[in-house]
Amino acid sequence: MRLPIWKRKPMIAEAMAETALVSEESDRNDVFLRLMQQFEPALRRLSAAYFDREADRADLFQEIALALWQAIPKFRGQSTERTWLYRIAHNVAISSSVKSHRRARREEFLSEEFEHPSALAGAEERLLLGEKRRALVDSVRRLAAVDRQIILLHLEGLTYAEIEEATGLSETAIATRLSRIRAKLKEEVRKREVGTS
Amino acid sequence: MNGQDELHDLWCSQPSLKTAGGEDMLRFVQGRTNRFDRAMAVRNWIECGAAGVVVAIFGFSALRAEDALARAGSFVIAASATWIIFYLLRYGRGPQDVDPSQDLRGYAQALVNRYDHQIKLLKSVKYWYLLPPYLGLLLWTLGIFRDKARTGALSWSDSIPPTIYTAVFAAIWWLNEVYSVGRLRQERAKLLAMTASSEGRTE
Repeated sequence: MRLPIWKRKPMIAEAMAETALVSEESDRNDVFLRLMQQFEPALRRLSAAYFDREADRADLFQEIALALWQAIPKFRGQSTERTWLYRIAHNVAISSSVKSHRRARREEFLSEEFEHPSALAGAEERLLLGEKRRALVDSVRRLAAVDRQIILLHLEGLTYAEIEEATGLSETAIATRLSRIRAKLKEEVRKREVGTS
Repeated sequence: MNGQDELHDLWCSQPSLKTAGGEDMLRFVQGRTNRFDRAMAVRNWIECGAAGVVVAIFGFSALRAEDALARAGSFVIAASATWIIFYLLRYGRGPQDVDPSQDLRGYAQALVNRYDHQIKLLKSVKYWYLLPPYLGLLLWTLGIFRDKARTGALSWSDSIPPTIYTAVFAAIWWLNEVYSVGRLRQERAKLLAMTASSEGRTE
């Protein structure tokens, strides 16, 4: 039954008070800032696994941030904060991919000027590393949604139990799939490595 | 490659590129939410205002028109516009967002359900949104024609307004039932293809 409009707001306030993360607007902002600080690099990597164009990745990152901000008051601590965040991020990414009518366009994945500072000094080694990374991201992008979600969570360091919580798949299914996906990704990266050297 | 660790290292070695910073993102999400709410409110009030003007004009016409057909048509148009105002005020925010904190299967199913609901709604637009005011306009036009015919003032140029509003209604029908439904069906199919592989669930 639909409640009259004057009865809805107090109920929303009561529901918000029961949540694990926030009870007030200022808490919501604090939680959002903390999540952004903690997970922004991971969320940007996730965006790169769905879109190759920088503008599309930036749009997706903003959509994820917006969805997180809207979801914070509804979080009830039924899963860990990390799995809850990744669920939202992946679901938003899938929605965004489905709605995207953007022209598929090959674009350099990483600009050398933003190259991660590493111990690698030689240009050749940097080039090789860049190629391998590109191969990995391209291969991840070509995976089916479920496989992509599993491998991304795995690469971000989530445990099997956390991946189970995020995806709803059993640990056995996750292990089987991961083994297959990892072998495939390694093969793709190796092929690119051989092609470059 | 040495296995997962090297894949992991390779993955995490991606440069972060440009980071927005939490404060900037907070301002962005707050601004976008407010802009969206404002845009929806403005759109709804403009449409309500336009419908209000229609109610006033045709309500007055329903009371004053001499021809019975024109009166009936005016009444139907005013009633249709009142219904549109009610609908906008009650459901004007559009479909509820699907909760993205579910697992993939639950989320995909919820999205599919929403697509089905939106498709059904758009396909029914012709019955609850377009047909009543269109029939009202036809009745009203027939009434005007009959009235003019009585005085001998009916001319070929009187056919222009019904032609224009028929074209407008046809365009709205096409946008809803052909263009939008087609786009939604494409998105639905893409979603199903993307999320097809989901065996091995815990349940």
